[in-house]
Amino acid sequence: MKPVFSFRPDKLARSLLFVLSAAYYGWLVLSGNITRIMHPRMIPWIVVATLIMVLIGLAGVLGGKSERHGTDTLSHYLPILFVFVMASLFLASGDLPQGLSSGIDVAALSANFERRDKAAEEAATAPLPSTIVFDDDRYWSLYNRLYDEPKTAAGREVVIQGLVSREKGSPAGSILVGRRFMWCCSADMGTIGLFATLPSANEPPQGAWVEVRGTLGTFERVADGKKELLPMIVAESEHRVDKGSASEIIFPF
Amino acid sequence: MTIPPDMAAWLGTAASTFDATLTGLAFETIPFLLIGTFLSALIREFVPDRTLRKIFPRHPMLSIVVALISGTFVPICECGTVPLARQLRQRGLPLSTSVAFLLAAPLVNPLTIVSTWVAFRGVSDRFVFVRIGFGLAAAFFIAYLVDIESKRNPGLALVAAAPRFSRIENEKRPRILIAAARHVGAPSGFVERLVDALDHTAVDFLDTGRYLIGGIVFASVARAFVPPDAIQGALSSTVSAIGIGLLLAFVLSLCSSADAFVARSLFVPASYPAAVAFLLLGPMLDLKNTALLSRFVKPKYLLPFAAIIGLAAAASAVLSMPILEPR
Repeated sequence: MKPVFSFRPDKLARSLLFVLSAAYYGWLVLSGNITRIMHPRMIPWIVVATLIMVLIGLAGVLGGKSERHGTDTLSHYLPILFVFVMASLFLASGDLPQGLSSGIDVAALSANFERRDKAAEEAATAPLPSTIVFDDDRYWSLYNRLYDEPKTAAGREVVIQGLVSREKGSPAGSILVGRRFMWCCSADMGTIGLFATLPSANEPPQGAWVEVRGTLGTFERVADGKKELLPMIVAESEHRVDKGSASEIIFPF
Repeated sequence: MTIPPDMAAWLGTAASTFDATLTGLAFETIPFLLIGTFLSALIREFVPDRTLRKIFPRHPMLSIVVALISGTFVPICECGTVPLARQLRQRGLPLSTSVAFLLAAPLVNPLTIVSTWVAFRGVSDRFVFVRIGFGLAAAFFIAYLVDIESKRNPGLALVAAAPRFSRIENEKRPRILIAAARHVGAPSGFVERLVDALDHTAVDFLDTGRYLIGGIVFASVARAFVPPDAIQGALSSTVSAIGIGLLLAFVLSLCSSADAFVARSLFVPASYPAAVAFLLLGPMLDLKNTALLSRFVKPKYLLPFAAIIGLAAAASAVLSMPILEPR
């Protein structure tokens, strides 16, 4: 093998594009911002793709024998650059939820998923405790159980942390205490949580991170002409708390 | 001139949805497209024609069956399978074989199977079998049609010629010529071949990536202006529910490795046929990969190809009803 070191501008431009793309993906993973864009289970694929980008950057300098060198045009580069600009705007916008805090370790993440899967499985099948605590691991399972069987859960104590929002069709004076959830990527993100009527008229602002404690009840909502019974917290206390290591985004699987 | 506050808020939400969708879809699919393109380039450089001929039997039907099964071993979603299917075609395998792989791989790969099982756990395990079974049947049926049409019309040339061989139409190029073309000036050492594979990956990725991103932009615009929850009222009739399932699968352009969760949240328990239509069409055809498919299927055949896929998905949704509907 005799590498050909030919510093042609078009090859270097292509290499530069791939190296910059690798750097952007690498920064997303190392900073934890990747979880604001996609599910952490995708991270191993991102790492593989990033390595390929780095190798392509190196190969561009070494040079292959392809007769197609130099055929790139701006139409090849601009779509990729456009995507990176849009992603930067997306990450810079202030109203986005924060994902996993920072510094993603793929091995540690796998261990977290094992722990989370076990806790979620237990929360989905075990009898409901007298005090239901919504933590990151059990959030999705408990949310489903309470919405599937609101009457069964009524009367139990509940503790939940989340972002404050207001939904159409909810009882007057109530807030939704919820988190964002992501199946796959930011394209399918939504909000899940519990409605709560507050003990005082002093409602927290939209987007505040609060902890609500209270007793579970139910209320009837009419949506698209259909009545549905939903769980609701009759809150005994509500106060703003430090988010700590809790994730604003729930990854259901 | 001032914009009314309601319209400003609506535009703000639409813009934010557009950016979130575009960023999410692009950052999720680009790695899979790159990995698929790299695997394709590795096959091109390292897998000899005789090996491919051993893997894929000469008999068209058996070759289709092998292509359907081989998708199980390729854990990438639909964006990554397009370059692989192109590579199979460029290496001289029957068009029907590469179409079978293209349609089946996103449906039967391990990521899709596991995510479908997890998503429908507690609803019905039959969704997994329906997705795999009807998906494979639909892919086989479409590949069979392509095989018949290829024999009836030898100049069909559904697959656009690869840039490397652009002077020769794919359908007119005998296998021996492909093999000869591959070995003229071909590198021999491992590192040199790897460098060449990476070089081809870069060229093919930049070429197909722009079509993918174009499709994602369309999907993001559609998503910004058509909220998915606006369709719940249309799920009461089976026909309209299947239509909605197909439409949303096409417009939302979700990755096949996670679309089962969205299908469950959108359609279960309201309409199982809509869920099946959504689960089957999405991996085979959506707004983002239609643009990508234009690098595989000649534009004049794109619409009939898409229509057949849509009909197969709709028919599967109807046929699966006795299996899935609760008694």
